Amino acid sequence: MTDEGESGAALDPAAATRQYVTAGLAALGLKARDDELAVIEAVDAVYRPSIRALLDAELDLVVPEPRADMSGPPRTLDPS
Amino acid sequence: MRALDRPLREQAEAVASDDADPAELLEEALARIEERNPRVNAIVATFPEESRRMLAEAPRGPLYGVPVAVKDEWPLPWRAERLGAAAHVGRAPAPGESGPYRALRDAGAVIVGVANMHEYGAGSTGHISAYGPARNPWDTERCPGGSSNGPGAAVAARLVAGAVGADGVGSIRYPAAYCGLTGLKPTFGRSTMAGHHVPQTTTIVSGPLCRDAADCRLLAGVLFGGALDAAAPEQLRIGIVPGELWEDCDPEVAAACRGALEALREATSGTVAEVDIVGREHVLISSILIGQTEELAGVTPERVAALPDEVSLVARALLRYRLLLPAVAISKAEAVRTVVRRSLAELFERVDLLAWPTVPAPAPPLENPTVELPSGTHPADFANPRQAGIANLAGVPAISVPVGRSGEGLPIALQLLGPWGSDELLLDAAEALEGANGREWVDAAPPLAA
Repeated sequence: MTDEGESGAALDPAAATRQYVTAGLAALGLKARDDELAVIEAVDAVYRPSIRALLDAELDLVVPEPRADMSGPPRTLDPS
Repeated sequence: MRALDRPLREQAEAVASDDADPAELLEEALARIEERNPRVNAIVATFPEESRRMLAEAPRGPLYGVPVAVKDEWPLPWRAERLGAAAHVGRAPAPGESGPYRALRDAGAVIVGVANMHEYGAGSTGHISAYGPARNPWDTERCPGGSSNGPGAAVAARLVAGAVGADGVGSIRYPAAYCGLTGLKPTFGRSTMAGHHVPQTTTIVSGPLCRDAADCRLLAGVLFGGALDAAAPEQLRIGIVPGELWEDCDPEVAAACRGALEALREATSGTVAEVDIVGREHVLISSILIGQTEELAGVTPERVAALPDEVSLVARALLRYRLLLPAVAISKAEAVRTVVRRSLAELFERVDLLAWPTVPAPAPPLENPTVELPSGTHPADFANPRQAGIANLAGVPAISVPVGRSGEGLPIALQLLGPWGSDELLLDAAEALEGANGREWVDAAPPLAA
């Protein structure tokens, strides 16, 4: 999920992921073994493009659906 | 034909009319499980005394005396759910009367076994479980689909004629598709969810896996708390979404599904039109992010750290990964959900149903659960939610219907989606499709059950 280092210079995606994961887990007091890290990197390589695209998506104009009830359609189709 | 080999509704009719002895049916089901289950590993626990007690106390309901199985996701009064895992993350569950248990009990059904599931429900393949993988009865070296792998394999292997699964990101529809069954993901909130380990869910539903739509209608009615009416659908307006949902599929899958779509259109004197869903490009990741993070409320770093090695490497890694997902991505996934729900609501004013393949390729090997698609080789767990996740994201019902077989003899399935509350229409359409196909695909049994 992390493509750049602190300086903004591009990192190898796998290296960036390892850095992000190990630091993030350490902040939570967690460790990951090498085999666990390998799985995380593989999973991240698959999902990173989709997560990145979602992060880049312009969704700030989406009016939230208040108290959404998934058992039925949205209360209003046109939020404006 | 032995009573146990009949469809669910015919077993119920046979018992109700005294053509079948429910005690004999139960013993036959237990014996069938003992004899056939080792080849498919669909049932992970039986409890003959509790099953016999259920039968002895069973009311004369719509499933009186009929053996069924329940996914390892639901507590029973004599057994806590284990989620296909060697250890729980957090509070250990307790035995209890889950909603599906009560519904089945009150319908007179007899639970003969707990069915396997993909560990923690976190997979579309069913190849990981603390009990070992369930195996696809059509080819026991193939994935049965997950996470309701046990219900799918149990029904396809004719251990039982109906099973209750759960569907959070396609988990009823994948095993239905891989195992040649019919699987209904109900409208969110219509089927009982009492006692589920994720009470705050906005995506997961209980639902039936059976051979055909009529059996799903019967079992869904039990889970809904009221029978579902049947009607012959006419002039169905079917929407198809151009792009990867149809085009990035195994050519055999796309061809069989297009043939089925045309058969359904013709059978109902309907129409097929191209439509699009706003936000579609983010549906896959949004459904995964929301579905997979809803249940994190009970997760703490300490609990993750304490998981034993008996929990799979994949699960231990994924739990760590989920703790690090950016909050903004979850928030944006919720915005996508809003966009998609509004888009679907508008679409369903113009079409009655949407249709595309349930899964983009037939069941992959257990040893290598990846699929070959026009866009390349992908983990099945990445490709499948693209097809199924939208129903959970939006809350709408969806059904997987068998519509063919690949050159390797593996089932192929078409998915139909309808507006909120249209579960009956989906079942009607599925029955129309079965009729249009001469029931070829719903009546077929895999070799080990033939």
